[in-house]
Amino acid sequence: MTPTEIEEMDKLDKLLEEAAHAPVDLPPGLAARVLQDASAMSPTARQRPKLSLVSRISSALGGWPALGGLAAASCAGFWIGFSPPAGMPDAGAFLLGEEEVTLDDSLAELSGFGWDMEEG
Amino acid sequence: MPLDDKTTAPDDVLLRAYARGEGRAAEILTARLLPRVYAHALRLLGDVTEAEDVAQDAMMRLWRTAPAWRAGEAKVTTWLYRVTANLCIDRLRRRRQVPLDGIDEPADARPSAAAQMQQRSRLAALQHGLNALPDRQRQAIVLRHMEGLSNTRIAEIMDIGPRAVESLIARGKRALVARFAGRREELGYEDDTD
Repeated sequence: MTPTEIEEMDKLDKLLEEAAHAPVDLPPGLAARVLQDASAMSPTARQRPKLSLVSRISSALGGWPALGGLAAASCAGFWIGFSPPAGMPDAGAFLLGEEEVTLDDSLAELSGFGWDMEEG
Repeated sequence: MPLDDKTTAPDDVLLRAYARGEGRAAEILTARLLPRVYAHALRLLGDVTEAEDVAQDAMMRLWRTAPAWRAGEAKVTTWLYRVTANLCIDRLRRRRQVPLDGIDEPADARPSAAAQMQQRSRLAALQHGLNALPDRQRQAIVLRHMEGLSNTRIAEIMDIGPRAVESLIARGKRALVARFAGRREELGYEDDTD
């Protein structure tokens, strides 16, 4: 570089240094907005109670008291199917491959689960 | 680790504390980092409003990435410089033209504020000159001369080699010198000793 160019470069360096030390004021409200963002995105803010599928269904049906009756009826039907009264096909054993069951045209498989009990 | 106003914990320690739910860590990080992020954006964009948006966006990305931050990897400031620059460059590309009037004009013309006005005028002229440079030259010059970073740090931020950093800075400064050649008085190059 020529002496003039060196001198010009020195002056530019001083100007850059002056700019580096010039205070830069934050715009009003910027820090507050950044902190609001931090708060909104913090792990504690993002935690929501996670409801299981059962809890969500339960609350939709009216809570555990309502589910209790439904559960009882389901268990009764299952038990009847799993361990049917004498003379009725044992669907449970059939499914487990322990028994051959001949299904006739009647609704035997349905009666094994108590579904026909609601029929009139 | 309890946090107080005088904590000297490194940025990444504070960031992990924030990720664990310590709100005080966010306050300290904001006080420490936001001014630098905003100033960097302002120098790259030359526009106060856009710099404000970029600064808030960059800090939001920092909060978002906090849970995944791993100790011992990149420095938080390096990551923030890079994110800030990328956000600025995205805006500049959308703009396709850097505005030349993004710096406030001095409003106080009293004789007692003359020196302040002259300084503002010089710094505004410098910013206009920076605005006219290619993005990468401007970024390299700002990182070196205004953020005070080494070539190695700048290379890491810009994802280039140190020699490429030197080249960007040299070309950018030559362009600035050429731009200011006919404006010595405006820039205050005529000092009292002349």
